[in-house]
Amino acid sequence: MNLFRFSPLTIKKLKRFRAIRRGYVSFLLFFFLLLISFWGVGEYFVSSRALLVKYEGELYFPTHGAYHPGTDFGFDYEYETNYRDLKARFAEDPDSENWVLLPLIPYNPYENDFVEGEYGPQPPDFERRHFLGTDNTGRDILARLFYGFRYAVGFALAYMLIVFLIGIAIGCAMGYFGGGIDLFGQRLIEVWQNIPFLYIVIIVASIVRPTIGILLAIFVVFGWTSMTYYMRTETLREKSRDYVAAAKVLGASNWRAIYRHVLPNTISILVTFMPFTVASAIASLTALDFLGFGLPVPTPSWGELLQRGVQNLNAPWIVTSAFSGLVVVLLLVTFIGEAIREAFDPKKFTTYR
Amino acid sequence: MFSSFFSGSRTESAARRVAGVLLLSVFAVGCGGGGDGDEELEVSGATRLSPAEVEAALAYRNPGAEEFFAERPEFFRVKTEADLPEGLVWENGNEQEEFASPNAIRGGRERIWVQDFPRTLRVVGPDSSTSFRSFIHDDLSLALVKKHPETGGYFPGLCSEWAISEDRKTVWFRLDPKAEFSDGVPVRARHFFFTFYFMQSPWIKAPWYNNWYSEKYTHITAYGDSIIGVGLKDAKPDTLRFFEEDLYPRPEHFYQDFGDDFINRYAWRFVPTTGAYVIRAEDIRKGRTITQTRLDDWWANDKKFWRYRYNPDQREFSVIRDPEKALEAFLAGDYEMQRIRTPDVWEEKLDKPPVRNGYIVRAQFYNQIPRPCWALRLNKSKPLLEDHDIRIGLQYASNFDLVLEQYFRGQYERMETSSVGYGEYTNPNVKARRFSPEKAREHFAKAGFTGTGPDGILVNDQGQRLSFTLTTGYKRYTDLLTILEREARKAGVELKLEIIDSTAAHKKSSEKKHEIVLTALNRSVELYPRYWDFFHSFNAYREDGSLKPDTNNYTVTAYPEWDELIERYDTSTDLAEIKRIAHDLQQKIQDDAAFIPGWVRPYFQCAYWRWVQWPEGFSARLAREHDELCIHWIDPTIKAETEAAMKAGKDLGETTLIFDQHKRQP
Repeated sequence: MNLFRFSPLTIKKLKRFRAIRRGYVSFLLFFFLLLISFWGVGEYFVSSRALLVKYEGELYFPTHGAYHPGTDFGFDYEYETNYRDLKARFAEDPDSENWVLLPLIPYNPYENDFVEGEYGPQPPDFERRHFLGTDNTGRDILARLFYGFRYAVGFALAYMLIVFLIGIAIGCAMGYFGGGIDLFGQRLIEVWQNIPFLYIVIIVASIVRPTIGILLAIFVVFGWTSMTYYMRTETLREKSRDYVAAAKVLGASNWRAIYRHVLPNTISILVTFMPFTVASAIASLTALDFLGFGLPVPTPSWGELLQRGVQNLNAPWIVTSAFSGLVVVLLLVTFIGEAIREAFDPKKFTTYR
Repeated sequence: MFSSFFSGSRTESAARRVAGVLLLSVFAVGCGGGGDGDEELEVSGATRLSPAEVEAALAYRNPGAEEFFAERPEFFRVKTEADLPEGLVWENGNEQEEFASPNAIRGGRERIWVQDFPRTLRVVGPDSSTSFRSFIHDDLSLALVKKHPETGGYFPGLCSEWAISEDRKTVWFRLDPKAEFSDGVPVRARHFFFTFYFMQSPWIKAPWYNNWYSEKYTHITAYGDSIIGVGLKDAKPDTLRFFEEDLYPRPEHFYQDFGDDFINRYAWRFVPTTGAYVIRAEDIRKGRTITQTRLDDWWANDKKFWRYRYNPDQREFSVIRDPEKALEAFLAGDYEMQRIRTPDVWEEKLDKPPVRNGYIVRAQFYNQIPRPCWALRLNKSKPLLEDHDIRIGLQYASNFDLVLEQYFRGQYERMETSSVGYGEYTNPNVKARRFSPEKAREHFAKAGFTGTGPDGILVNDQGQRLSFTLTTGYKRYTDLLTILEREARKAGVELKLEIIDSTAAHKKSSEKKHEIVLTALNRSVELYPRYWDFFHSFNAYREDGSLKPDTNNYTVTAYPEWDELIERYDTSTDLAEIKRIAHDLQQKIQDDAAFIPGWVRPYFQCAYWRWVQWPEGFSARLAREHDELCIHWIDPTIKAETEAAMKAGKDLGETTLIFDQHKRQP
């Protein structure tokens, strides 16, 4: 793609980004977190399904694919095998050839792991591998944090992508063509921005069961406007530069002028806004979840965890985990953002100081 | 000139008042008709009238009401005492024992928190049926009779005695000669007449009451000023039930401005009450606090069953929106008592120094009341749920046992039938089906769900998944539902949880658009359960065969055979037959399997600062909550003692009281 055949200037900027240690390390860390929590990957670290089972001479890989009913491994029930029980059963018989390899955290974020005779949230327990304890219904906090991260970041990235696409398209059109489109577009956006986002979400959430898709749609519908303004200004500025005029004189179409000449020069604005958009999307989603208007129950979510923590201050491990998780991720994203902003600062390379 | 009678100003000249009222109305017109209300606060039923004003108040006749009565001579009959039928057997319930304690000490100030500031002081009409109403009306005002919370019989309220006709369709009441409203106007037969006019008026915007008062009664007869006879449309074994929660006398003289603006005009006027507490205009700080003041010379101060109650001199209500915060405020000593709803509060959230040191006492009281029927209701008009086997499968797939064990910490009990807490009218042989994934799968297989998808959810030949949406408006039971959802998976069922706003959930289920709904319908203390509302075809389908909205038949039950039974049940006066049909219907509901019984809380719990004192047995068998009967009192000596101990940091020893005299043995 032409857009991503970086100019020497951009490469220089990226190099500068790498030189900013705090930002770069944050980026690597965030990328690592993203990688291990990714769909299909995260299940190898946090899951109630075993990684490997050797049973009666046969090897099973339960992590992916269809579920194994308990009867597959000699239990008398038809629902999904409880691999922790299986492991315990195999351990009882030292002569058996059978073994189970469980993931590091052998729980999924939904299952209730109740302890007989114990009620309420349980504190961290390394033996049972509840590293951050459990919530009121015996669900593993770390598992919920982990998958909550997946949902939050996945949501934020999808949001960013869509908002940027819409923002770039409309912003560019407004800035490049100007005139009626610009005037009309700006008025429309001004009106649109005055619709209270939170109320709409609350109303929708109170009458239907909000799915991630619906939530994303609402976020996008009310979030695309801010990006258009920046793109409009940037396009307006670039459009009046000589190189665009030169391209036009040489017979370039509007499309080519925008795509080849204007857009690549606005990349610093886009890149700078990316991390902050992600951070604000995570924060808003968490806030909505906290208020109870977010992701559908029982989806693991940070806002819900935070809310639960606040309601159960006598179980401090819940609120501490959720809060620290949120702070760490938002800090990482902010550090990345800062570094990018610094690296892409045009003043660094300009003679107009 | 009557405006002065409820003005709170006793000596002003009538002329000045009229001028004031005129001025006020000019002002109201000037600003578009909507009076702000602050001016209206002056108009209150909290102050006593002078004898002359009482005379005038009694002489007042509302023109609208007069016309209403004249149009219905058959309904509103005026006779003399001599016309009373011969041979009436008068009863007064005085043989029953009192439930309040003669040791009670009057005085002190009780502080109570409420979640919302009441939106009106009215007790009828929009916004009035809130929990605050029980503080100013339901638990306070005297009806003609009241149910005895221990025996289940009745004792006199506004009447001194009553008599029931042989066909149980007419009841006569001799009004207590002492009975009066808080403004000093004695309660007369006329006030009950006015009630019928008032409660049927479209101006009160209360269709349910409009309907009740036009449907349930056949006539009201005044035998002079102090005896009334009321006719009922249907003869019921429990006749007096019609008079313990309805037919409160309404002070006609107070409603002189009764009109189509009633909702706003009377929103903040304190209605003269027959109860012990009044709210003075100056004690309303809108949005913040409301204070009730005890009437020192309350007319029922010495009346049996009413004395020794309503002990605090003042009750101050303040607003705390967040229950968690309210609990903290209670622990900090800002409130006298705290209702405990869930076991985690009892065990963990109250495990704090003031409780451990014994400054706060926890009490648990086993009661015996018809329980709110927390249950899953399956909509039989939905494609899969019309299948009987699927319904039975879902019964076995609902792991309420685990919910009881873990969520309710083994403290609640399983609801066995659809009608728990009705004594002998509850069928003891009906037991809810216990969780069993094997049996559930068996029944699902009978319904064609034999395959299994990759996620463990059952599928049938057409590839249809066994998946249902479970709707509820109760956010607080989210955790409970996630347990049910997880466990249902073991039986191969997917439950999609839809936890929405309570109004939206109510609308959805009353329009029968739900598949499965978790809800409870609160029940008043009645002799035997109701079925018509929940299981009669009248409440399921319209005549054209479409689903009927706005009814409580959430299971969409419509069987002609049941209809017949329910109709006989509702018209029967034979308690033996009623019992037989009730048992039969409970068995039928169980067999039909569209009602998955949930849980019952066999007690109520509360915590209170130790200076709050209670009668020996704490409460009574039929009490729903600790504060309902208003039989507690505040002991100033213990309060001083406790405060001294707190100052000195002295440990008084943790106190937890369990009153299980009414606990049913399993």
